[in-house]
Amino acid sequence: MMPEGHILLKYIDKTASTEEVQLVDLWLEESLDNRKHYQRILAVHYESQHLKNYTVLDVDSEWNEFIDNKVAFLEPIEDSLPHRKIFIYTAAASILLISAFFFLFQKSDFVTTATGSDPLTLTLPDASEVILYPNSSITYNEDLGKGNSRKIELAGKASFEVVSDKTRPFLVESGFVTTKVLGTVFTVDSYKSKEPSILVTEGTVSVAETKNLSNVRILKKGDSVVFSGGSFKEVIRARNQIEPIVSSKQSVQEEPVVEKEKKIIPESDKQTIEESAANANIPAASRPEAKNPEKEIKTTTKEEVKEKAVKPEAKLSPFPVKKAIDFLVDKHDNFSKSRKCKFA
Amino acid sequence: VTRDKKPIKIQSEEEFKEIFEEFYNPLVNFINQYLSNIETSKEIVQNTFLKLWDKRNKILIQTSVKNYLYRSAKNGMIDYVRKHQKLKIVSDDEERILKNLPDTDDAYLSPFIIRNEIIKAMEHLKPKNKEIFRLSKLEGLTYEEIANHLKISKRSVEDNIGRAIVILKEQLSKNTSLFK
Repeated sequence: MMPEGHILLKYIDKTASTEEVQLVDLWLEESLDNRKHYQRILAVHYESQHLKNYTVLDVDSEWNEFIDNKVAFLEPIEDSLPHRKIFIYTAAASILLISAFFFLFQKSDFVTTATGSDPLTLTLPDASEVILYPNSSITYNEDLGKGNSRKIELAGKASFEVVSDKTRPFLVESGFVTTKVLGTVFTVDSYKSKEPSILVTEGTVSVAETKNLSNVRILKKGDSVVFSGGSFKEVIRARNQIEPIVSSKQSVQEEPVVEKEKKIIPESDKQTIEESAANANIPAASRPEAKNPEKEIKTTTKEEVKEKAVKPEAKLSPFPVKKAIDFLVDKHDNFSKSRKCKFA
Repeated sequence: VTRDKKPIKIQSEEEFKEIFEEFYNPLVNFINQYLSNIETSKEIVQNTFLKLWDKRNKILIQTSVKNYLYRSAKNGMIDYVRKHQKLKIVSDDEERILKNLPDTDDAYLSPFIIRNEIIKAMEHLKPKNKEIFRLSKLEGLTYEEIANHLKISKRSVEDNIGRAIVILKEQLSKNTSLFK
């Protein structure tokens, strides 16, 4: 008969009396099943000692974040159609174009709203809200709330609070930069047409060069990106790390870091399963810490975000070498012990 | 769903979600053990699952999902550390420690899976039993402190903890892949 749980725990903790030790020893010697039973008790007891440091995240909300990331990162900004379907779509598009041609003569599809010296707040057909800053304009299809995607053209500066719709990305094209979101709050500033900037106040945004939509940067809350001459200039992370955009030509000249990196086989290549080339769309692992979501986009400016970026509040913790060594040695020894039956 | 049998091909989003629910928290805690930054750890694990999702129709996992995810998350962490090495956040030695984590032995992930399963299995404990276990293991109170707090004897606390461990063990034993 199995000893009571608290006696087994005392046996494990070596606080059991002589009689209790004899009782457990006899039980262990009885059968292999008993020893397996003990081994599992040992594992649960040992691992439960570490629960204090175990972080339990809400898996449902993490799954929802995964779904958002999946749509934002794995689906390209440009529409990609399977080749075999292109003919069908082309034929359908031709018919639609002809129909549209006749329709256009009767009625304009596009709505343009422009501001003078005062800002304007307006609600788009899909219920998204826009604050249009002075001397700016936006143009959109009047069917914005119905189509497959929601595309806006912007000149000047505007803040968007986009209604979430995972099936229809919200695209803002502003000269050199195209921004894609699913539902978030962000500001596009293209007053300087050659140096537009994007600031994300909430959620996740993917930003691409309009001339090269595959060149994408992923921004999260507090991140901003600055363009120069039609190309990415720098990404300012909320974590306070400024990521300079280095061209491939520049990086070849970097010494000695790049040389060292060349010798290292990328870890992702070590997978036994072949990796696809889709990693280009996977976000970098340096993302802002999203706490205290604020929706006060009306008063947030790019300069304020840069100011925040100087504060060291979100600095990455130093890497705990000793902790890692201790963990590896201690964990491996102890866990191996806990998994081996000393009587087996 | 057994995740330790091989090989496996992910057939549907539902199946993918099951894997996500089973391994997300253990993987985040596994990474966080080294980086001590929960947000970064979450991001690395999100990326791990994004990669798996991106390849779900193309791959046949030859080892096990657990082994695959362990290796992928570990490599994601190493790539992250290497990337930030330029920013002097980590040194060569520190990177070396991570690179020495084995590729084929996913036992480093197992403790975190067991901890995750223990927390889930706590739902099967009776309220008083669960509270005493929680105070002891999650809050870190001693048996004496729990006894004083709940105005019960220390022996009663010991009994409850012992009973909880046995019940949790029974629950965890239902997952055949957990204890090899």
